[in-house]
Amino acid sequence: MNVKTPSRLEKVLAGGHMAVTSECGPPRGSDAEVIKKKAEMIKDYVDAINITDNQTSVTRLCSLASCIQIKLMGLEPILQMVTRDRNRIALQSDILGAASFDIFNILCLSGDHQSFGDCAQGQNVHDLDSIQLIQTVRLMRDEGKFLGGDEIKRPPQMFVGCAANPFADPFEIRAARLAKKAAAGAEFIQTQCIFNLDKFERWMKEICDRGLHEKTAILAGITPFKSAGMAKFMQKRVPGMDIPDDVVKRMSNTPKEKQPEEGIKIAVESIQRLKEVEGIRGFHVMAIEWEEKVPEIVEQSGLYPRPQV
Amino acid sequence: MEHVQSILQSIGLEPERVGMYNLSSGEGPKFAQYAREMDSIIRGLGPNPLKKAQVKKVQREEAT
Amino acid sequence: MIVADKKPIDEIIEYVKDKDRILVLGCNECVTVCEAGGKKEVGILASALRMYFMNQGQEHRVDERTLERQCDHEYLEEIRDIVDQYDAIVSLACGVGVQFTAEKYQSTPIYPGVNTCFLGVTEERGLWTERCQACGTCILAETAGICPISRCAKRLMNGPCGGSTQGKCELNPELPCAWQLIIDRLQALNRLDDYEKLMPIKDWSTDRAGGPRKVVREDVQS
Repeated sequence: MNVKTPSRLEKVLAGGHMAVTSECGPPRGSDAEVIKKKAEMIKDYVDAINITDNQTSVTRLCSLASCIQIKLMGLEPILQMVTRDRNRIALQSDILGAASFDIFNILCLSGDHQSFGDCAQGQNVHDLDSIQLIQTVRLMRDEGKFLGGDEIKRPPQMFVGCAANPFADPFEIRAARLAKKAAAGAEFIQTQCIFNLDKFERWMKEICDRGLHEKTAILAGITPFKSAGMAKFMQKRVPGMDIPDDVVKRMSNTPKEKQPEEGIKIAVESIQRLKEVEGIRGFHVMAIEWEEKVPEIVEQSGLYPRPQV
Repeated sequence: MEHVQSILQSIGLEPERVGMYNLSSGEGPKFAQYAREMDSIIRGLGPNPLKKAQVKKVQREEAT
Repeated sequence: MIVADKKPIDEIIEYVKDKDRILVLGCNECVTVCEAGGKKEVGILASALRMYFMNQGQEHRVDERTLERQCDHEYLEEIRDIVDQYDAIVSLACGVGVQFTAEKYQSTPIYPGVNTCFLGVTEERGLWTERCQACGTCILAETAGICPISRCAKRLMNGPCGGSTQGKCELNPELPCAWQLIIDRLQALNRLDDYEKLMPIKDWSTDRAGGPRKVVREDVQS
C-alpha cells in the first residue's frame, strides 16, 4: 500500500475501498459543542470529515479550530482552506498549525466572493489561488520547504485535495481544468453535488480517457433533497447546479410528508449507480443542516461499515 | 434634466424650478399651455430664493 | 486612462462652505474624457457653488480654471501667481492631480472634487470599465491580452472559479468572467492548450503591496 501521509482517507483509497467523506459547518459563535455534536453523529459512517471555511463568506468559527476540536475527539478532519482571507504567510502558518495537531487532510479552495457574506465591505486577499495553494502544500510536504525556500522543521504530512464542478462553465475546458488540478498535485477531488447522472458519467468518461482518474481520486458529491422546495430552489437559484427536470418532478410528485424519504432514496440510488462508474473512488455526502441523515444514506448505499485500515 | 434637478436639490433649490418640454414651432397653443403650466408651478413655489438673496444683498449695501 | 466620477455636490459644499474665495481647478486629460473634471464640469460645479452661496445669503468668490494636466510641474506652475487669491482649491483632477497640486501649494487647502476609480476604457460614452490594476509585472502575453488581476474579482491566476456561470462572474450577471474571456481568446488564437499551463505564484512586490512605487529612467534624466 503506497501512502505518503498518515491520512486515514488516503489509506482507505490506497486500499482500493470506496471512500466516504462528509462535511460539518462550524457555528457562528465559539461553542465547540455544535461541531462536536455534528461530528459525533456521523463519525462511524465516514472516513474523514470536511470542516468548511467561512463558507459563502459568512464569518464563522474557523475551520482550523474546528478541525482541532474533532481531532481531539479521535476523528479524522479535512481542513478546508480558502485563499480569499489569508496571504501566503498566513496560509503556510495555518497549515503548520494544523500539522502541529496532526491534521492529515486539506482541501484547497478559492472561496466565494466576500460580497455574498456578512462582510461585503472587506478586502479579499487571493495572494495565491487554489491551484497555487495545492502546489504550496505539496512543496511543504514533499520537499519540506517554505515558499520562500527555507527548510521546515517537522513538515506537514497532508493529503491534498480540491473541489471540482463537472457542470461548471466554461464547457470547453472541463477536462483541462481537472488536469490542471491534478498537475498541481491534487490527490483527491470532491465534486459539487450531482443530480444529472448522465451528464456526469460523460464527464467521467472524458476524465478517464485522459487517464486523470489514475492521477487523482474522484469522490462524487451527493446531497439529499429535504423537500421539493429545496430541489426547485437549487435548480433555479444556485449557480453551477445541474438538476434535470425529471428529478425535480419526482420530488414534487411525492406527497409532502414523504419528500424527505424520497430525497434520501434519490441520493442512495445515485450512489448505487455511480459506484459502478469507472474512476469514481468514493462519495462526499453533503447534508447541510441535515447531518443526522448521513448514517442512513451511507448504510442504505451499502457503504457501512467503513473499512478498517 | 434629472441630473440638473439633482444638482439644484443638492444646493438647496427646488428641482421643480427647471423643466423640459418638447414641441415643434407649429404647436403654438401647446406652447402657451406649457408656459401657463410652468407659470403656475413657479407661482406655487414662490420667488426664486436666489433673487431674494440678491435683493437682501443690495439692501445691505444700501444700508451701509 | 484614469477613470473618475464626480463627487456629490453636498460633499464638496461641506469642504468649502466656510471658504470665501474658491478656485475650481479642472484637468484637460483623463477626467475630461470621462466627463468628470474637465472644463465643462468645472463650469457646472462653479455655477452650482455660486448659486448655493447666494441661496445662503452669502457672497463667496468662485473662479474657474482648467489646466492641461495637474500631474506635471509645468502646468501647475501656471497658477502660481494667482494661488494666494484663494482660500481653497477644489481640484477636479484625479487623486494624482489633487495630491500634486497640494504638494506644490502647501499653504492652500486642496479638496478633491471627484472620486478616482480605476484605470480603464471608454466602452461607449457614459460607460467606463476597469482594465488594469497596475500590478507592475504585466502578464498579458500569457493570458491572451486579458488581465485576470483587474478583470477577475478574485484575481485568479489559474481560473475560472466554480462560480463562473454562462460566461459571467458570480458577483454580478452583467460582469463577464475574465477567465471565460481568456479561454475564448485562447481558442480564437488557436492556443487553447496553453490553458493547462500552471501560472506561477505572483510576485506582488511590484504591486501596491510592495509599498509606494517609482519608475526611474536614468537615460532620460538630466
